[in-house]
Amino acid sequence: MIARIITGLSAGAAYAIVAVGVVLIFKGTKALSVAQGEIGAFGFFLGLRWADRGVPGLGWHVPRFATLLIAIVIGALVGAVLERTVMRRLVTRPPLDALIATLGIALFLALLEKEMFGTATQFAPSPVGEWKIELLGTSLTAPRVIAIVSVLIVAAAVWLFLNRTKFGLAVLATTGDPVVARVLGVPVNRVYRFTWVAAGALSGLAAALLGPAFGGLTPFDMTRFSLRALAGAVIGGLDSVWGAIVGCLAIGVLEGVVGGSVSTAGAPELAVLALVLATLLLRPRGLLGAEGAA
Amino acid sequence: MSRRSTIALLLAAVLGTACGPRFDDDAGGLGSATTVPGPGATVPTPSTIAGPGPAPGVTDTEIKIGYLLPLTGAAPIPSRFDKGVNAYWDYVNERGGIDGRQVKVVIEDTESQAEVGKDKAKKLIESDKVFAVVVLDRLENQEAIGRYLNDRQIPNLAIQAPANLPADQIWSFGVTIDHAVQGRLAAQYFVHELDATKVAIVYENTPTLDPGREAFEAEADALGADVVYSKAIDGQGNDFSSEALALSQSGAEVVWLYMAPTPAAKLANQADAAGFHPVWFANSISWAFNLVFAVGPESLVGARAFSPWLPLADARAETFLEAFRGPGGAEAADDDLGIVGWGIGQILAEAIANAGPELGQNSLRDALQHLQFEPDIWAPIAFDDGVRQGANQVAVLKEEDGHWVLEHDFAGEFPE
Repeated sequence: MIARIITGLSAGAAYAIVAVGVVLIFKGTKALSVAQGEIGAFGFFLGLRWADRGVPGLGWHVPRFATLLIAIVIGALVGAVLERTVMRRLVTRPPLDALIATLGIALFLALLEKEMFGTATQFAPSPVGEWKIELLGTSLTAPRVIAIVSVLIVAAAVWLFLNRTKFGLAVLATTGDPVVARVLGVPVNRVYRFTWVAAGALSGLAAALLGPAFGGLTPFDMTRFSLRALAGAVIGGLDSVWGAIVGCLAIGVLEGVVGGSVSTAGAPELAVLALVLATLLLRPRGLLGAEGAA
Repeated sequence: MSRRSTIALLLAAVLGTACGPRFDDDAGGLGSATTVPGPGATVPTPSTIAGPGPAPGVTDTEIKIGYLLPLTGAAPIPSRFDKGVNAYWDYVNERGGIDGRQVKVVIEDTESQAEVGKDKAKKLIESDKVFAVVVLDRLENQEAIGRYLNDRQIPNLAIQAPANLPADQIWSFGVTIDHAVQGRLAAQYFVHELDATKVAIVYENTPTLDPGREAFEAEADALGADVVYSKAIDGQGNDFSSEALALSQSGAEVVWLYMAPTPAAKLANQADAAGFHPVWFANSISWAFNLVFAVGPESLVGARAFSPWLPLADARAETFLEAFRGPGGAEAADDDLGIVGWGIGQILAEAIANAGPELGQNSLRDALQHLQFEPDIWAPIAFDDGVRQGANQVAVLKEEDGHWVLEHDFAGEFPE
């Protein structure tokens, strides 16, 4: 049981990296994004292809560690492009429009991955080494350890950024009222772009850790993981970085324990759904969310 | 009527509904107009089926065959699988066809769903008017589709052979090893050929695999091996780290991954990352394709598999390779998915030829029922009265440099 809790925490930490991006976008644009997983997956698939077959035109095989960097950089770029071409036009529209748009983006990216990289599961060697640590009777592989460390660093950095920097305050001001923020001189469009770029980079980091941790990555896998991240953010509070992390860790543990004990297909998902429903009924704003945020 | 009585009646109605037949058991589903033998009914035997019977899809110049394949959905096969199907029938047609008839193939996608598969079967029968059908899908889907085809009295070849093919399902023939027989053979192979004393099995949670697993565990026990780990998993899951850890702690020397390729490779990769390297074993028609080594190139080193077909490296696969490569011979030939389409085509063609020029569905069924045939690259087929799971031999494949190679030729026993 302890082993399942520990491995569940590590999976939850990787979901939480995606969830921090979801929260950032929600804070900056009020949009709920289900595309975060596939944005990062696309970059990671590209990195894996360049590591395996070489960069087109150069023939140079990128080293394993570079697949992580490529996932982060491509994730950020895709985030920037999507923000400029699709999401910015939807900022003033009802939130449902943005949600549906991100669903379309996720489907588009997953189908593009299938077309470019095939339907089969891609072998995903760890970009952060093959080492592991033994902990309370279980062993945590390098991607899982890095996921736990990363989410703590990311959360602290985002918190410091939002609360201790001028641009972070601009993000919070935009969250409060974008029209007033614009009148007061806040570069609202830069805020929108920043949130999507940062979230895209975080998604790339998560894909590069989750793929190796789970023994491979298939198109649509990251969409499933991003739904867990979204569920974690709902449980913890859509406007709270720390809340989203707590929510995702809870989901990871729940999945680990239920999945390890019940072999029925869909049982972990059902348990997660029950937790989300319970949260929505008993505490709609989430564990650490602000009043009215939900 | 009191409230308590009303609640009791309601509960009884709900429970009664829950315990009723599932859609898979609906014998007359999807507009079937045929009569299905009920329990105790006289089941037609080859001797009671007279004459060639109806012959939809057969003309003086053509025979139309339907294929139901999971080209999309949860467990899709790569689309080039159909290249092997077409390569075989093109090969036959170029040599004059069967009794002067050219064979035309209609391929439909089951989308990896039983209900869609049955809908497509209906289309093949009623719109395309095919003569016979070949089915490949997950075992539970294949069983449902097979039952439907049986109800419509369409001769059908199933690539997988379930352990519990009903006695009255006389129109269905399995061309690979019965899962229960395979379970027993796997235990023999582990103990007698690999000298294993601690064995394990991890399987997808579906009742269709129970006979195979139970036979494996019983035989292993009878042979004195310890089944140190036996666990069902959710095949759609991703995180198998707890299973990997438990396996490594169990000390298993050989582990049967009784599941589809994706969870098998993911589980092996997660175990590999945790430092556990047993001999991984694949049952027939699961993950014994070269493709799997692209997903687990390091973890699956030295893996073994039971297979109803020979590996591409075997000299007996040369005819297939030549036809598959095409006239130029330039296309990538390292594709053992195509070999499946080729092998099944050979079996069906032999049965059609045996049925004779006056071809009908009864005569094809009769020819299949008595088919004794050794294909080039497939396990020997030995159907007989009451036996429609007819390839109870397997080749043993071993991973070498990222490809399957032959370790043991077709065998039906692995004695001490």
